[in-house]
Amino acid sequence: MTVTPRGAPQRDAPARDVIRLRVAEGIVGATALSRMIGIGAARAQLSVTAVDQAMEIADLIADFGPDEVVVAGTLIETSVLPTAGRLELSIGDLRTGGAQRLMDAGAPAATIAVLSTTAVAVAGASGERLAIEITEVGADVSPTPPAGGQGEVGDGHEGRTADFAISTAPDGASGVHVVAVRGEIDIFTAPAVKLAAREAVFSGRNRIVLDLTETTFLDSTGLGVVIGLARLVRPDGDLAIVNTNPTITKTFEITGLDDIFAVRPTLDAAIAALGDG
Amino acid sequence: MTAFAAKPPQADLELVLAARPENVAVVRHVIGGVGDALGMSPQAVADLRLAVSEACTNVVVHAYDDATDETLEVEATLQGDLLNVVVRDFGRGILPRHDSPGLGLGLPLAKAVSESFAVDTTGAGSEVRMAFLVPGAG
Repeated sequence: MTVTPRGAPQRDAPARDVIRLRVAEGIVGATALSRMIGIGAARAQLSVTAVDQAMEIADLIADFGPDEVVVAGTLIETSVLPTAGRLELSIGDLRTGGAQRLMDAGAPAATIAVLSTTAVAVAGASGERLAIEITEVGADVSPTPPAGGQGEVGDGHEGRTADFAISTAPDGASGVHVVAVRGEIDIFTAPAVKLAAREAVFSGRNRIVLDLTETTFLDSTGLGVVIGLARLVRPDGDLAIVNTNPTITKTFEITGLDDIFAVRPTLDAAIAALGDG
Repeated sequence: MTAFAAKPPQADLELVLAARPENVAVVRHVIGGVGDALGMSPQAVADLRLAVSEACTNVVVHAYDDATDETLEVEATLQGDLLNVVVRDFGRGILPRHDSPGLGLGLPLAKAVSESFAVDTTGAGSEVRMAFLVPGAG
């Protein structure tokens, strides 16, 4: 990994790719900032080391008291632009000299450069912005969408929602096909889950277990995949779900879907719920 | 709302990003950080993450069929023991579309896990306003 001072502002990147966060100073703002930088770095497919380094920036800002680097009473605005192998951060508006104070506070001087000092009408003060670019050498620069299918997919592409992977394999003894999802199932990742499950069905398997043991989030988009899958395999086959996550359980209960599918705490119990076919 | 309505307090957090599928996770992680920092219980944070994800997903799916401005805005403000979250778009709004790819479960889910839930489509786009209880913050 190399971290290089940023030169001229990037003009080629479309503004719509920028994620902009404004937060009040304090623990809530610092935590929110840290999470945004963390997921931005993950989406940029940076290594764990680089992600840590990026998140230190949020800690640096939080470590300062009010009015030390930030104009009192203003929101700190951080914009993040994740592209493959590169994360650009821009933090402001800072007091005059605030950018230098942040650099002096611990960020290696070589990693950070003051991009520009611009006069911003915030409480009569001029604002500085601190620009940081973290580049990963040798990063996989293909912005691959999540894929579904045989075997593990998603590993090595920890970009989008951090850690996402689907494994799909027949359970030898029972003939049931097991689709296991690690990570978050939402509008971005659900299509890959749908594709993986449908591939199993179209290859002739109609008894499917969706294993959510390692699934950390499931929203209505994920529920839609589950319902669609059940429609696809029934009435000749069936679908059962493995889940122990109380939040996902609650989602099933609110929507009444726990009455429609067998939801079991273990893979063996879910396979058993499908019977012998 | 009249022109003389009291200006709401400045939000503690504003997030502005493109209304695209990959960005819903960004909002979810940031808002989850807010819940964690406020000391909300794991289940309360999970509810917050789900409700805000659903509101944002709705914007991604419904708001910008043919618009060029695809901005998604999220604001969070702590008022007393309530965390107020506004999810805003500037598109055609969140009214169901006839070819909706979803099942209509999203906003009802958000409503079910939030303390209060309201949709305002009187502006240029639409706003989903939700509140979440933050015990001990009041």
